[in-house]
Amino acid sequence: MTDTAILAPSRLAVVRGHLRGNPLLLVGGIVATAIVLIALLAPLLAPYPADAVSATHPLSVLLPPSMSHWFGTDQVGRDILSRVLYGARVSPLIAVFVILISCVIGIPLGLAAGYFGGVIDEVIMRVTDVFLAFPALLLALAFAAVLPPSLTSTTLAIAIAWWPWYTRLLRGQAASVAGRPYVESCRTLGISRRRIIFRHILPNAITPLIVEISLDVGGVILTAAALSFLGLGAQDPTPDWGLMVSEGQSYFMTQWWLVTFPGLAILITALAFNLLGDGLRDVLDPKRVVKLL
Amino acid sequence: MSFLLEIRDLQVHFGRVRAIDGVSFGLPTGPFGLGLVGESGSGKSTIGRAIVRLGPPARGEVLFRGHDVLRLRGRHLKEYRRHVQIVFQDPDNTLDPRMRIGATIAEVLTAHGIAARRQATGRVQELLQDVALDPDFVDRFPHQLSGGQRQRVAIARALAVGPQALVLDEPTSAIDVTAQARILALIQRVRDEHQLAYLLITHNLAVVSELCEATVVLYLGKVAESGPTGALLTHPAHPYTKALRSAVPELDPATRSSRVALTGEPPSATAPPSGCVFHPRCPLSVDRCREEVPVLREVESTRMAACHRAEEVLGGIEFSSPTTVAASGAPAGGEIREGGDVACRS
Amino acid sequence: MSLLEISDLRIRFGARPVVEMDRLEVDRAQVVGLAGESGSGKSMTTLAILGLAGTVGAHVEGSIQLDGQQLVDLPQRAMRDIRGRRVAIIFQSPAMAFNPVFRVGRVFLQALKLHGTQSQSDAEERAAAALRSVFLSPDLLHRYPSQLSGGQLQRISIAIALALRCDLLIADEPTSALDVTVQGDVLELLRGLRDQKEMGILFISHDLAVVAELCDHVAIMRAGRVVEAGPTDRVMAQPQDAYTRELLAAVPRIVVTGANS
Repeated sequence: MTDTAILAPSRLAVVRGHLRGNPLLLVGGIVATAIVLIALLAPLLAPYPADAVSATHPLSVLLPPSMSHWFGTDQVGRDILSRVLYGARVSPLIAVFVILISCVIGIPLGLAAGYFGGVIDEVIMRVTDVFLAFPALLLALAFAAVLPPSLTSTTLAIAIAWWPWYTRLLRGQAASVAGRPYVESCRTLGISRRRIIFRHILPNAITPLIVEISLDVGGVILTAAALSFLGLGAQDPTPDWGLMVSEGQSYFMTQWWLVTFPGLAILITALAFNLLGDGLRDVLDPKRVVKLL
Repeated sequence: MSFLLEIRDLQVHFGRVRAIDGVSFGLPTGPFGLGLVGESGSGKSTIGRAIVRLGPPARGEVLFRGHDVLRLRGRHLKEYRRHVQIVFQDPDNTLDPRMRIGATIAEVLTAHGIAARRQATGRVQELLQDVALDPDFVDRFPHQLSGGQRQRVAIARALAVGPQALVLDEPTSAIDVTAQARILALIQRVRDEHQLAYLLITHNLAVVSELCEATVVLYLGKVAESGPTGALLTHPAHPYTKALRSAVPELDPATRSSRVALTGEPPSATAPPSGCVFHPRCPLSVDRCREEVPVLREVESTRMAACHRAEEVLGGIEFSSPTTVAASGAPAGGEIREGGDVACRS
Repeated sequence: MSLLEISDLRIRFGARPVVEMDRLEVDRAQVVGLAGESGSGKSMTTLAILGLAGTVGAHVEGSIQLDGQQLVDLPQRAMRDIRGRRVAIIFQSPAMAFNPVFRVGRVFLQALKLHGTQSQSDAEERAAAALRSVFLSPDLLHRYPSQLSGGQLQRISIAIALALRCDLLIADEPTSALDVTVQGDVLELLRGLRDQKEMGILFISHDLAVVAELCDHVAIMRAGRVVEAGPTDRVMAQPQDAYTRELLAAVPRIVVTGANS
């Protein structure tokens, strides 16, 4: 019986294979791209761009969905479709920055704690634990309440509550990878510590984080919406989806369109990035069997 | 004889557990194979790891060409690591799953300045051929190789730095028997081609008999006996070696002999027995064994043993163990006691 | 009639065949070895006999008869009855065979009560007697699996098989994870099961030396097929098939010549 091995396919073939085998990834990817495009092209797509900024139309308040206003109008007469489209610039952007900040803080700390262990691990993790002791929303609330209400404050407040989760996640992964024979081999082979951490530990530890991040896009958007809902985040007239839901809640029973369309936007965005993350995890794991035609 | 690698009174503690409790032996310059044999809890893997500076700080001395390496750091440690390499047991985790084979080996070459990135490719292919792998494997990922092939990549990677000594930690325990035979043949060939000295850590006596001129037998962190492999296996000087040898299953009925059964369970390192660590299970133990720790001493030329009755064992004393299974050509009849009050073995 | 008769067994995953076994028999008071490397199909065969092939998504066709009773396609309820009452199993990893949350005694007694023993005190007596038969103290029943060594756990598995008074024992690599000195004890107990309890034992292993010492008959498997079968001594001494010869040649042996003397 001879040793068997499988032929190595090209990278492009691998990606194509993943897309074919995972239709949800395709859907997620397409929708996520669409949202990004909408955010970029909002001024061109929105029928009433001014409504997204400061315009009000007292004569057209609370109009139901119609040909001239696909999503209807809100309590000050603004076109909801335009505001939803512009909203694609606001909420996901918050998510992007929050996650970016959390990664910048969380990844190095997690790597250090996981690889070095000992005192460094103790110090980093105990500080992290303090932050983790509070529910993320409450922590974000606390900071948002202290800062003047604005998008920047929202972003900062949520980031402060978010980074510890990434630190802990990465620390666990890094510690686990650091103990594996191939990392030990690197040490005995005289590979530099820096290279071990960045070339071996980071790529092998990061996959759960990538999935987590894609799930978090929805989570952050929801948290930002909650903050806006409570008046601690974006302020009127910013077309923030969460703010729109908050402003529309008292009209929900009769003028359902105020709440529904921004709500759907949140739902679809969160779902799309979720699917994208799931699919990304599959793509990034070289061990998954690829279905080539 | 001056040793390439000499271990003197090595001690490794994991907290309160004394995994290695005073081990001494020497590995001569290559080509030479030294077997390190023991069962679980013997500490054999810990010794191998201590030699390449993995694991908790060790006490005692590990001398490479006369210089103690246990306290080396930085540049000197890296220098030492060019001379002594290790191959691990588990082929599944021995290579970075995200790096292609070629990159994994090339990384070693560039880390030590042996070859710049561009010339590395040629050297990598040479190394792969050295271990009888198709050079096309450079573009493959570890999961596309079988366990045996991955072990060969690990060996190629270890050879990349041009070491003088190799520690092989159970290199074939986790792979199939036919792949195993090929790896063992590869080790033989590599040893002759590169004049290597290796420390072969295993629980398999047959493997040491094929590959090692000398063997050290370990029990619970101490050396039971050491000496030339053939002599050690045919005329053991320690009861444990004799029991171990007799327990090895044989393909050929003609070579089977009575099995010396050991009482009790393998010991726990957290509460080692008093006196000789083997005495609770030893068929030959007497009062002295419980009270006095036997010293590792020369019982014959080139033969060392740590046993108060080593000379008697060497002389071929009969073991009156509680259950000595009779030898026969056909599988022997076993014994199941029926209930009742029976002296239990554990 | 043999205790276990397998004929024309075909196991596949979807369209991919994994086992194509024409014939295999195990008699009472006999140990039959199923030897081969990983991927040869030995474990799949075991699963099929136990009616568990479906749990891994495999499809089974052919005939597996236990004392004349057809096991293939038997409904799970009937199979559950057979597992434990007529067929006992020992696995490779003794630690994984026992639920770490329960004391060993509880697992033991549960098994007994599930398969016929009515009263608690009866079950306790049988369990204690079975443990003594494998040279273990009945006190061990009060321990958790993590407090026992691999060898002890394997012996307890054998004790369970004893206590259940099964006809057929399937041992899937029972000694592969054990030290060689402990392995000897376990093999001896298996011989006892064969000789005194007249159990039929199907012994699966990749270790040909162990198979040579323990088994009366052996079947060598490769890529799902039996390439050679017969009395162990004959197969080991005069292998007919090229693969068998290759396997035997690959087994390291204790040699005392040349460089090591």
